[in-house]
Amino acid sequence: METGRCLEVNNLRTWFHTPEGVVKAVDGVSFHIEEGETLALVGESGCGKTITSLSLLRLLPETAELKADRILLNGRDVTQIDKTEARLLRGSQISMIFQEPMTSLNPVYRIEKQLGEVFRLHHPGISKEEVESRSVEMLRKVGVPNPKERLKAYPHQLSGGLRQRVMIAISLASNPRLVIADEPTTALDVTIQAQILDLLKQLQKDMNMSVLLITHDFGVVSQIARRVAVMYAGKIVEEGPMEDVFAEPWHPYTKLLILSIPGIKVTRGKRLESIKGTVPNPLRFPEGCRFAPRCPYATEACRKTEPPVYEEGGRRVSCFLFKRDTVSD
Amino acid sequence: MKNVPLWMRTPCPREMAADAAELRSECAAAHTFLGGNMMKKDENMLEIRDLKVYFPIKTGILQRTVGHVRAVDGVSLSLKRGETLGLVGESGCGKTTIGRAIVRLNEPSEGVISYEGQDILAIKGEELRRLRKKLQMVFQDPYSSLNPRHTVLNALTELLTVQMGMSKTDAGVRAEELLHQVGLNAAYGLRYPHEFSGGQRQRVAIAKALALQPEFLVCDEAVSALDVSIQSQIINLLMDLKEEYKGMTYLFISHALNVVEHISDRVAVMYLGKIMEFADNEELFAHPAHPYTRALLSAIPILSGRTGRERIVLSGDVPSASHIPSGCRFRTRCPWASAECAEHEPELKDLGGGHLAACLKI
Repeated sequence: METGRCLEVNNLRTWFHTPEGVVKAVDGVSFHIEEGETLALVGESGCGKTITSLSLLRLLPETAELKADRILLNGRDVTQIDKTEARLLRGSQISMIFQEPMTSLNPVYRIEKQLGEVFRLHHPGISKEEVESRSVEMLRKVGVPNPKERLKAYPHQLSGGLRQRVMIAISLASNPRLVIADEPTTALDVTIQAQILDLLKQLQKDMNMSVLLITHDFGVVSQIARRVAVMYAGKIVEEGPMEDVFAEPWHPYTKLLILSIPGIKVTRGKRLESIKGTVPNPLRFPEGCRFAPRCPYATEACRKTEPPVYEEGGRRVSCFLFKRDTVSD
Repeated sequence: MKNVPLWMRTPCPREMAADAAELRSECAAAHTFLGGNMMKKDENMLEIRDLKVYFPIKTGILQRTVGHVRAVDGVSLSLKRGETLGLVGESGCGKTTIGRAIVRLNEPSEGVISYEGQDILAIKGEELRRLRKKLQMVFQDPYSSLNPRHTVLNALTELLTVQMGMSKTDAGVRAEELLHQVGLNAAYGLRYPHEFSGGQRQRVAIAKALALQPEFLVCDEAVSALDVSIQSQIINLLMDLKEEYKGMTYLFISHALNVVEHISDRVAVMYLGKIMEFADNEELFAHPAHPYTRALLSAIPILSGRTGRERIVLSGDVPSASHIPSGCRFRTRCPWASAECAEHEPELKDLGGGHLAACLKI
């Protein structure tokens, strides 16, 4: 396959119609992922990062309304296809690794059946032996010891780390071009987290996949992502190469978010930087910049008008302060 | 030229700092109101000696005991008045069990826990009730520790009238004070637990613990379930409270090493029911001796990026606490393990300056 853009999302809006009003969970999100690249989507709970990923998979509940200028997955517009086509796309082109493997694996079936299903579905008429040998191969690839015996195990007989490995095996068995990893290590202990992150990095290289990593943990981002997009209240506020964003965040939210993590700098015993207040209610997003009520730098203009997106040197930021300053420089 | 926004070069207007100062003065006022001076320095407030907590494994129709889960397997710790001791380890290492044993939520099989010289495992009845006021615990999930059918003000007032013997009016006033102290508006008192966000609920849980004027707070993963921006608010709150109530002592239980590094004076690292390493905060993070501590430190992405230390990825999983390996319990995952590790169980050795580690190779 030629190299190019694996995914391009343009002005994605996912709204939920509820009795209380319209929840604009995702409201005008645009980003792209190159072939073989990892993009991290970072944000706090409720910022819309998971809804963004579910929108790409077309796995939204009935109450959701999905609009987008376009979502191109390997050159194909996902918004234009019907349910049957969407189902064919899932697995073969795009797949997902979920946060909690215990709730996404079926507790009453052996691993054998759940992993084998992928091969049976994507290769109709495949023989039993072939399914087994491919399953064993896949488990070996994700580092499950004694793969032959593990096939006979039920999910509850495996440890958290092994379950996540099995989950990854299932997601990757169909050889997708794009994998969405939604908080893949959040439920795991740190030593296991390190194993899983290494595994993901290795597999991505071997299989030349693109990865959309969804996380709230900047530490995880720094380990595996090349580019990072920071989300706040349904919008991407900043995007750029990981090192640049870390070293020099342009948006106040990104800056405060990084500074509020203990341990990034030696801050022992000192007060941490913190962000005042809480994430706004998605039913009543504030006017103007959505971060303005919590932003220590907010001006009148921020509270009235929504800031445009400024692009420069491969980075994007949506904040008035950026432009004003550029002028004054 | 690269454009750097101006605001990045100017210091952040510290509205938050101003808030904190206000909060602090109010805390001080509340403290004088209570008339308590709990200040006594340099003594061991809490001592744990050779604590063992075993849970029986029962099977079959007769519920015969077939074995034991050795959740805590011989732990000795002491906490000085006014210090924060960080207790770190992966899930299932027994850190929560220690916290619960201290507040007497589960009964140890062996060992001694003494609080100001008094054996707290021996007391019961009225005496235990009195002691529990001094020893409070903040849990990871505040939602399950708050009654969903009481407003927050109700819950606090009840606590104050029943436990502290205050009149209804006094209790109401004090409850509002407490809410203020943890950074919540008095109007929030009329809300029910489900109407709060996670961070606010954790503040309520802290207010409840503070209502009894404890001297010792066990924080069991108190910030783990919170978003980073909220987590930093709660960490700041805990540190502010310590400044106000001089002598307040924390046992800070967490799996997040970066949080523990930030808040603790001394740190104990646990693995499978035993303490592997124990040292002053700075010493532990600068010179980790035990291979497990080294692996833990290197596994945390944020810390590993900063120190530039070699990255050690441990293989395999934590063994079950019902089948603890012979000899050193870490040997099945240890990069340094050799034959002798399977035979001898290492004791904690003093490496100098109160830095203890349990490893035969050191």
